[in-house]
This record gives sequence, structure tokens and C-alpha cells, in this order.
Amino acid sequence: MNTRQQSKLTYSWYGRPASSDRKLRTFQYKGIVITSESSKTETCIQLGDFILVEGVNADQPYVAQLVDLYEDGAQHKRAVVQWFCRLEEIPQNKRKLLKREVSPQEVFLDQILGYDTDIAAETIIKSIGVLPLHLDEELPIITLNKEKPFYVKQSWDGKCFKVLSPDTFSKLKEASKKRGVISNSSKAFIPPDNLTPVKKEMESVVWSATKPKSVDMKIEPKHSASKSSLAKERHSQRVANSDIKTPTARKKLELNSPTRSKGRLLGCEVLGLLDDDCDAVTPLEPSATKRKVKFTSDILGSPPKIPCSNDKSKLASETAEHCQRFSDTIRLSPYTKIRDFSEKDKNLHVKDDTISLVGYQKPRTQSPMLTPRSRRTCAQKTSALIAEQISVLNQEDTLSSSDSSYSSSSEEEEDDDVPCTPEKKTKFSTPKSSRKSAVHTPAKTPKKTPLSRTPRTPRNATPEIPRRIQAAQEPASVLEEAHVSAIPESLPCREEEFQDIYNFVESKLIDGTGGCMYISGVPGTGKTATVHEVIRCLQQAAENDELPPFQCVEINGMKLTDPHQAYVQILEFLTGQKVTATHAAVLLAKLFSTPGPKRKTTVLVVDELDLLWTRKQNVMYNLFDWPTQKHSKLIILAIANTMDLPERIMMNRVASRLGLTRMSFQPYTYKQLQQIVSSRLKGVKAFEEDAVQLVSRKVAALSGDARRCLDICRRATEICEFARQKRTPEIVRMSHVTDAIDEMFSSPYVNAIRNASLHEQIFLKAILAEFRRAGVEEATVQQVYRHHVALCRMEGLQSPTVSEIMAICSRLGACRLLLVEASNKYLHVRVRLNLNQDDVMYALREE
Amino acid sequence: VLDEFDLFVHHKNQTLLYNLFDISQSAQTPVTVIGLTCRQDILELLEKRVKSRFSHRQIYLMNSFDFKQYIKIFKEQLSLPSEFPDETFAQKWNNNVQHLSEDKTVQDVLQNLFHHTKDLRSLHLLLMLAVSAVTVHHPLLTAADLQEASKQHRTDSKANIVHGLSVLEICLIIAMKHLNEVYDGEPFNFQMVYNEFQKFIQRKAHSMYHFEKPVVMKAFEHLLQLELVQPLERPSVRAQREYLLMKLLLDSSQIMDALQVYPNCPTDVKQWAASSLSWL
Repeated sequence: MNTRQQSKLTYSWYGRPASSDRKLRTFQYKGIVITSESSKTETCIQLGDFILVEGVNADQPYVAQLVDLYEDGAQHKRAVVQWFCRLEEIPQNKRKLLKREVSPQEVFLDQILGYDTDIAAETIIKSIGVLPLHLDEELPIITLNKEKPFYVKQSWDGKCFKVLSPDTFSKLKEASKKRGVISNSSKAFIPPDNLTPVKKEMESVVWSATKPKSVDMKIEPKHSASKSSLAKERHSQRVANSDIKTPTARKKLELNSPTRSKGRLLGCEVLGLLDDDCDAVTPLEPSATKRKVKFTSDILGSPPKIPCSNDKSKLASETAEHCQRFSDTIRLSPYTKIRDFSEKDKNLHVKDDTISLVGYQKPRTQSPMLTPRSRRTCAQKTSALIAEQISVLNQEDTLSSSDSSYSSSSEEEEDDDVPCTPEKKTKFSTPKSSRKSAVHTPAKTPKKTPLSRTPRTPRNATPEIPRRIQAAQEPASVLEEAHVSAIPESLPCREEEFQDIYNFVESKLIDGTGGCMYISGVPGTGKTATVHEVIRCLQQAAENDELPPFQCVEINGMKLTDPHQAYVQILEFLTGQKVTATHAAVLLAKLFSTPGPKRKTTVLVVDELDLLWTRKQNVMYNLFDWPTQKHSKLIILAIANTMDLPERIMMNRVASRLGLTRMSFQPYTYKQLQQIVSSRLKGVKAFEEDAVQLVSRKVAALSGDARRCLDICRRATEICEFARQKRTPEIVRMSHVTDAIDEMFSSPYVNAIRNASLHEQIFLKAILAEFRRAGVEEATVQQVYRHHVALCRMEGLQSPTVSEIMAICSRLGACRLLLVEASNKYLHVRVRLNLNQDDVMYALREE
Repeated sequence: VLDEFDLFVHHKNQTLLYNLFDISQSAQTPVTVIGLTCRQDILELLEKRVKSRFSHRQIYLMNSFDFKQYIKIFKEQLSLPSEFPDETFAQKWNNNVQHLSEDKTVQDVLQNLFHHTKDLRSLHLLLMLAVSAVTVHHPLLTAADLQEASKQHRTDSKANIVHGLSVLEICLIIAMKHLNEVYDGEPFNFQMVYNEFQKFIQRKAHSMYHFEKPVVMKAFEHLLQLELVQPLERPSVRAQREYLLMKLLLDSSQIMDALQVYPNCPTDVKQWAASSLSWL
């Protein structure tokens, strides 16, 4: 759109400070003048204007509405904005919730709370036009202006799209209208007094509304509504603000986390209440402006389209919206009852807690209901939509599919059963509410994963032979349990490491700083699993508003074709752009080194770090350099196998940036392995105590690899099951385990030699003879051939030709019993044994 | 299914294997990876983190059958299926096969092959050679056919080449053989071979035509092209061709065998080859 040259633009305040805050030593202004030296033009941007703000991506500046301008104590020009987001900024998987075509000029009122609304005034590029539209309105085609205005139809709060509430709509409408006036007269400077009273009002409201209490929000309209239009204006303004500000206390959510925030809904309810008042007032207003008339007509004309309006009076009982709210209140019930008098903010907290404790299951079913609210008219449609959404979700996550479909259907049933009464609050003590609370209580234990996982549920995720599912009831689950992929509920024996990593990341998150941590350990010691667990717990905590929100990026060195692809992956995850590696590196460096307005802390997990090694090590250098930047807010967890990787392969400057926060995962001891196995089996009596111990001792002595341990257990179970088909059922005994271990660890060579043909065996004997003769463990085929012929004579066999000998030799070479040179030397090919001479002797003597 | 699994191991970083194993362990997608390889030591080629993700489930397929089963396989391979159009012929053929399998010579042939390799592919090859001898006039397979096929199958390729050589070239090879015996397998050059050849010529000048040195050189180069002789190092521009170090790629027994069947070989040459001390 425009590439701004910073040097040529100067920013100055427009007019004198309108008000000042002595305590904070800030001065507030009504406008800002951007002077471009090159073109000698001046543009004046005033409060309420829509502006473009520099973003991560140069071609895609952020759209925002200017809410406030002030100069802080350090003479920095700051601006407070209300963000709008483009479709590109909405995560891909959420876009389909919109269910309609979106023009590139359409933006959404951004109600995600995680974004910093306080930005540096210098990042403002210019003012633009944003027109609010109703959902069914077509985009007007404007060809008069060169610049295309943006359009707002819906708002976006990170989880769902909503139709603009009438207040916001009218507010936006006014702002855009005003902008038209200003832009008309932008050449002639408007004196400060020329400002419309409305604007003045708005400005003051903005600042009085910074700490709104929903309590007085409810009271205030009652007296103000009947007074004057000005007061109403003010009230609507406040409502809009409360929309934005009340929930700031609550946590900001990960964009793709399915949990929905309650606060939105509550805000809507409040809005609905207030709308009632508004409706009552409008007829009383003789001086109702054109805008207001339109506003009321909106409400009366198309009631189903406005989600939150007048639900007390109009309740269309079958609408999905209603059902949804209905179930909401039910879930909230135990708390509201107890803490009727508690502060609203606090209440919101509690609700969030409940949701997250209840786990994935509910949010999942909830989110589909939430989404296309505005369009739903009847229950049939709703259920169809739900089914559709669920199928989408199923594809996304097969694990929870059964759960979610189950509970959603049950909810639907409930909705059908219970006649929907408008007085939702009376429903508190229905049996359902007790059922719901019963669901979440067992999950309340802290640190437990929310994934409610029943051990016996056959999940299609684990690869299995169909026969096995039918074969036996019990071992099927044991096998699944032992499969490496089965996610354990907790990671036994890694509590200490877990706590360390957790504390590290948590402290960095709270401080809002960056940092690195290096985690090492031999394969199969649970490094990646522990880190994943930490991230999951942190995300949980962030959802519960105990921590600031963060986003987690994971890259795996093994999954990159080239170390430089790491940049591309990270950038794609953060911004969704797909660019070349070098460009991505530049963009990322810019992203992490400059303070961004909408910046969240990023946790970057780099698995298999050693594969990001390049000759110049620039990938690793950059990765570890970013966290040291002041504004990066980047936390890196690097995982690799070698403990001394930093010293071994990294240059000094890279190693120093990595820092000294190290953690090494020791191989599991046999006791730990035993514990892991038994925790996996979770009390199912399938293994003998001794058998488990044998496995864990064996593995611990070899590698301490938990994966190996579980594999042996699986194999042992299979052997046992196989044996059971013939005999009586029994549990896995020592003998099965020994079989499994033998199968896995035994050397294949001896077996291979025993099954070789006669001449192959003679050839091996000849090799041994030749070695003994020469004293060197290497011989040419020619030498061996002579021995071979002699041996054949002894055995009374027909001696093979050279071609046959060569064939035998190459066959043994292919099995790697022999190490053979490249075969172009024919008879002079050198041959060496790939295994111990004694092994060969042993294998041949058995015959 | 990854056939020739060992070659996947040589990919850079074994990324493919790592990811495949990782997926199969992560429960996202039901994937089973089956790798096929002839190498017994495949596990040692896997990188440690890839190895850790491998399930260590190995199945070894060995040709563990004995000779009786081998004969059975032979019969099955050769028998005509029941849906063969000409039923009477099929019956005849199958009876013949039954006879063959009980025949002593046939069993000897098979036993020999079995001793060499338990590979079924070589059995197929042998049978193909034998069956290709079947014509309209010679409708049934005989034991002689199989023996002939076995002979073909077993023949030494290098010895065959020797059959097609000229007397001069044979003489050169014999000279080389003697050199090998004298110097115990040390490499030689053309000049040495030529000298040896000259000595032989001088002794038996009456029976052999005297060859010019360039002609002998030509013959020597021909041997080089047939890869019966191999240079030890790459021919460089500076080194004279006469002095390039060479190695004979034939065993003395091969040479003797070849000479036995060589048609019209001068007796002098045969004697020379048989005599261990060439200068006598």
C-alpha cells in the first residue's frame, strides 16, 4: 500500500493539550499532525479517526480507530487505539466459521483482549475510512476516492464472529461520518472549538471509562436515559467501552484454543439489558437524530440478526443462541449461587476456571454452537450446523471425537427436553446442573491434564490389527497402554525436570522477557514429552488467567529439509506468511528486534537442535540472539541429545548466547522404568511383578530408553496373547518377557549362517582357514578360493567354479556377513568378516 | 513398505525414517512402517534417535528348508497347472516331472545347486534354461536337458572368454601365469611378460611363428580390454605402456581348465603351461 519513509515524516500535536494528568504527567491531545517534508503536505488526524498502523508485514498495516492521544512523561507521543483485524490476521481454522465471502477491504472489530492498545504515535501511517455495514448489506462501490475505505460488518473476539452491537455500530457510523467532514475541510485547519460536542463528550468518556464497574453501569443508565441525548450518547459510549475494557482483567486466550471466554457473553447480556433501556428512551426523544432512528429500526426490523438485543422480552425459545446461553448459565450455577455478592470481575475468573477444569470436552461442543449465531433461526438448522462443525472438529482431533459428539448430542437432547423459559436464572437447581458440576469436580485436581481419557476406549488413533481388537478384551487395552503413542496422564519420574522447566518458562513469561534453555539427554528419556507437558500446563495456566498469554512455536530439526527452513516455519507460524528462507530471516529479525504493538510472548521449542547446525552457524546464532533483544519476548527451549553440544559444535559466540541454563535428562534407572511401565498399565493386572522388573533392568542396563522398554512390553504381551490362543489365559510371565527380549537383542548373524547353503558355509570356513594361515583378518577371494577348493575335495564335493564363488561371495556380502570391496577387482577383491571369528566358528560347529 | 530399506538409511540425516517412525509412534495417524532389506546389520546403521523410535520388531526370513523340500519346490515349479488347456499333455508332462524328480542324475544336479545356494531364484534360472530346450519334436523334459542347463548355469564366464582367444594371447596368459607363480602374485608389466614369452619362443622356435613386439603389444591390449588383465593404477601419460603394472584376473586352475578344452592348441603351448619351471 505504501512504503513510508520515516525520515520524511514529522509528527506534531494538533492544538494545545486538552487535558493533563498530573500524576502520570501525561498530556492528552485532540489530534496529531503528520507533516511530510517531501510532498509538503500536512494531514491532521483526530480522535475517533480510523488509521493505519505499521504492522509486522509492510504491505498489511493494521487498521485501528484512534481512541486517545497523549504525551507521556518522557515526551513520547503515544496513542490508544481500538484495533480492527483483517481476515488475514484471523487464524485459518477460524475463518471458516464466517461462512461467507469476505472482500479484502473488510475488517472486523477486534475484541481480542491480548493486544496492546497503547502504541507509539509514530507508527501511525495515515487516516483512512472505515464504514460500518449491516451483515446483509452489499459493499457499496465507491469510485470517487482513490483510497478504498474499509468496511466493518462483524466483530471478532478470538473465538467467534458477532454482528456489531447497535451501539458500536452507531458509534462507528458517526466516527466515519465525522471523518468525511474533516477530510473535506482538512486543508483549512479547524479551530479547536469547532469540534462537535459529541466528540468532546466522547473523549471525556473514554477516560472516565477506563475503570468501569459493571455495577454502576447498570445503575447509571436508569437515570441518565431519561435525561438527555447527550447522556445517552455517553452511555452508549460507555457500553462500548465496557465491552472492551471489562474483561481485560481476564486472561487473553491463545487464538486457536477452543475454550471460549465467558465475559463476552456476559457483556452481551448487559448490553441487552441496556438496549432495553435505550428502546424505552427513543420514543421520548424529540431530538432524535437520523442516526438514532436508523438504530431503532434496526432492532425492530430485524430482531434475529442482533444477537444480544432484548432477549429478556423476545426470547425466541428455539434459537440456538438461546440454547447456548442457557447451557452457559447452567454451568455457571454453582458459583453464582455461592458468590452472589462477589465482584463481577472475580466472578468471571471463577467461571473461566470452571470451564478449563471441565476440560476440552465442553468447549469443543460449545464452540460450534457459538459460531454462526446470527444466522440461525431454527433448531433443525442448528443441529445440522453442529453436526457439521463437529465433523470438522473430528478431523482436527480424533482423540476427543467420541467425547465431543457424545456430549453434544446429550446437550441437544437436553435442549429438546427442557422447555425453554425466559427466566434462565431459575434453572439453577435442575438435576442437570448437578450433573455438570459432577463432571468437572473429579477433574479439579491441579496439574492434571484435562484430557479425560478412559483407558478402555478403543481409539482409532493407535495403529492396530483388526484381529486384535476382537481377540481379547483385556490385552487390547494393555497393548494400547504400552504403545509409545498413548499419552500418559502424567510423566512419572520426571517431576523434578518438569518443575525446573516450568519454573523457568513461567518466570520468563511473567517478566515478559526472553531466555534460552538447553535440554539434553539420550534418546527415549522423555525430553520432548516433558517439554510438551510443560507447554500444556502453561497454556492451561494462561487460560486460567494465572499467566500472561503466549504462543508456542515448535520446530524439529529432523523435520526440516534445511536448517534455514527453520526461519520459514517460525515466520509462517507467527504471521502466516510464506516467504523464502532469507526473507523470512530478515522479517523475523525485524519482528523480534522492534517493539510491536500486538506482541505476545513466544515460546519456541527447538527439537533436535544439533541438526540446525550449519557451517557458519547463523541459524543457531540468530535463534539464540533474538531472546537477548529487548523487545523480543522470546523464550527458547532447545532440545538435543548431546550434553556438551554447546561446547562441541557451537562457536563461542553462539554458545555464550545460549546461556548457561542447562538441564540434562539422565537415562532412566530400572526403578524408574518399572514405575513408568506400571503407571502405564494402570493397575491392569497383566504383567507379573518380576517380569516388569526384568524388562526394566535389562533396558536400564543397556540404554535407559523408555521407548525400548515399552516396545519390549508390547512384544511380550503379543507373545503371551499368541500363546493364550492355544492354552488357558494367563498374565504375562517371565518366559514371555525373556522371549521378547531375546527376539529383540539376539544377533541375527548366527541364525543367518546356520541357514546358509553348504557352499556358503564352506566359503566361510575357507575364509577362517585363510585368516589363520595369513594371520591377517583380510584376504582376497583368490586366496580363499584355493582353500575352498581344498575343503571341497575333503568333503568329496564337486568344487565350484570361480564365477560361482564370486556369486557366493557377493551374496554373503549383501547380507553383510562379509565386508566386500567393490567388485571390479574380480579375484582380487578383499574380503573381511563382519562378525567375530568365534561367532562364525560357533555357528558352523553346531551343524 | 520401504523396500531396500538400507538405502533409505543413507539419506541425509535419515530425516525420512525419523519422521516416519515418529509419526507411527505419535498416534496422530495410524501408520505402520515395514522396511525390507537383505542386510543383517541394518540396525547399526540407524542413527541413535531414529533407532530409539524404531520398534525393534524384526523378522528374519531364512531359506531354512532342507533338500527334500527343495525337491518338492522343484516339482511344484515345473508342474503344469490343472487349468492347462491340453489336459492329456498336462498329465503326461506332470508324470514326466514326477519321474524326473526321482531320477538320480537330476537329483545330483539339484543337490549340487542346492549346495551352492538355497536361493530359489537360481533354481528358476536353471529350470528356465532347461525348459527352453523343449520343442515340438522334443516335448518332454529329460534329465539330460537339466544336466546341460546345469552345465550352462555353472560355466565360468572368464574361462569362456579364454576359449575365444588366439594362440598368441593364450601364450601371453600362460606367461603371466608363470610370472605369478615365480613372483607369488606380485604385479607385472608388459615387458616382463614379453621377456617370458621371448624365452618360450627361443626354446620352441620351430613350432611357433616369431611375433613382432608391436603385435604382441596389440594382443596384450586386447587382453586388457577383455579385463582378463587389470592395471593396478590408472594409466598416466608419462608412464610408458610397457611398464604399467598389471595383474592377472585369472586363477591358474582356470587357465588350465580352459586349455584342456581349447581346440587345436599346440602341444608345445600345453606343455609350457603345464611345466612349473618355465626356463627349463
